[in-house]
Amino acid sequence: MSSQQPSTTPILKGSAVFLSASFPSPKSPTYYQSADPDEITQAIVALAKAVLAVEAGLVFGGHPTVSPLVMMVAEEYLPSSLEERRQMVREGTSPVIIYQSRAFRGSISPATRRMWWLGLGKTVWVPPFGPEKSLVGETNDPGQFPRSLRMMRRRMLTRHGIVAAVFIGGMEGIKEEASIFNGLQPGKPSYAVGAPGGAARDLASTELSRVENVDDPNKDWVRDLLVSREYPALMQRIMQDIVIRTGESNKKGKSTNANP
Amino acid sequence: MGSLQSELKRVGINYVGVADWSLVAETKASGKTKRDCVIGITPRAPDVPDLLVLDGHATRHNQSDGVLIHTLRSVPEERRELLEWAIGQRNLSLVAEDEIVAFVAGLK
Repeated sequence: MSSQQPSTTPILKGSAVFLSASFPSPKSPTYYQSADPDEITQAIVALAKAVLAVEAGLVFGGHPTVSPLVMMVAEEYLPSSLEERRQMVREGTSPVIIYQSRAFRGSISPATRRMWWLGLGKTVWVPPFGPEKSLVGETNDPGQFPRSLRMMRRRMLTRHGIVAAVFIGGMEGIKEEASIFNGLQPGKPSYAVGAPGGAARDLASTELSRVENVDDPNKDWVRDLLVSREYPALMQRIMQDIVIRTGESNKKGKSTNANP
Repeated sequence: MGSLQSELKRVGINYVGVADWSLVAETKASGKTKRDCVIGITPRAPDVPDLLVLDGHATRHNQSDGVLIHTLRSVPEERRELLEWAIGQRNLSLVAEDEIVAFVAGLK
């Protein structure tokens, strides 16, 4: 046969990649100025494609600007039958997993609602933190729910099956999620993509400084993570790296080095 | 195109650009000479005219193999049958863009 269908690489089937991404707002001037929304969009889309192509799961917080991008990719990669997709959601086999705090139940974005309707992802609800419950419905300001957000992040980042984290764009929250991830999932690889800017660029830059100082053999790879704008190839390489590290980790029966 | 070029460069495969979003990759490895490969890219679903252009480049370049990289994760059956019919006995094939890294690794 001359025409070939894409081969699947189901090595990561049943595993999931955590995506931490957002578009910096003017409230964080430094990150806002360093970020390129178009690059963030391209990177998120490329990551979602790379993850779903190897039949892994994609876990992320239901951010109103990220959900539509993942939804667009999921529509292409999930079964075309609406009933089949809804069944996957019911059975918990949908590869797209969105975490939402019930603290914001009154302000669910239209994109997230559309994802529910189209069966493009399973939503995991996390209850608000006790003392903040009284504010639910009164305000949608995330600043009023710091403990609820932290609780949601911890639940999301300790989800069974998460094998790696990818950071794109973002503000202070990304650094917090990176810190929580490294603390709760020690030894699992994390990848900060630098070219789109935002807080993820700081993380990528810090990592490059670290490996340059110790003459790490992975220096070129870490530099690519910081500067490459060829997102489809970069995200596919991230998935390959996760496969290799997951395999090494399984062989050794213990965690591998967290740094790519 | 950028992802393809960066991957070819990264794994050490020489290439030269030709017209119409295409390039020729020199797939020589470890003393063995493989056939060069003309790689075309379409930023949408693959179609017969894309194959026609690719075949033209491949034929002009010493009857090389031709590969069309496209954006569809899964080519619908009807379109796939049409493309296979158009390809016939030619050395042309399709690769989804989410497999660029694996595809380039296979050229080495």
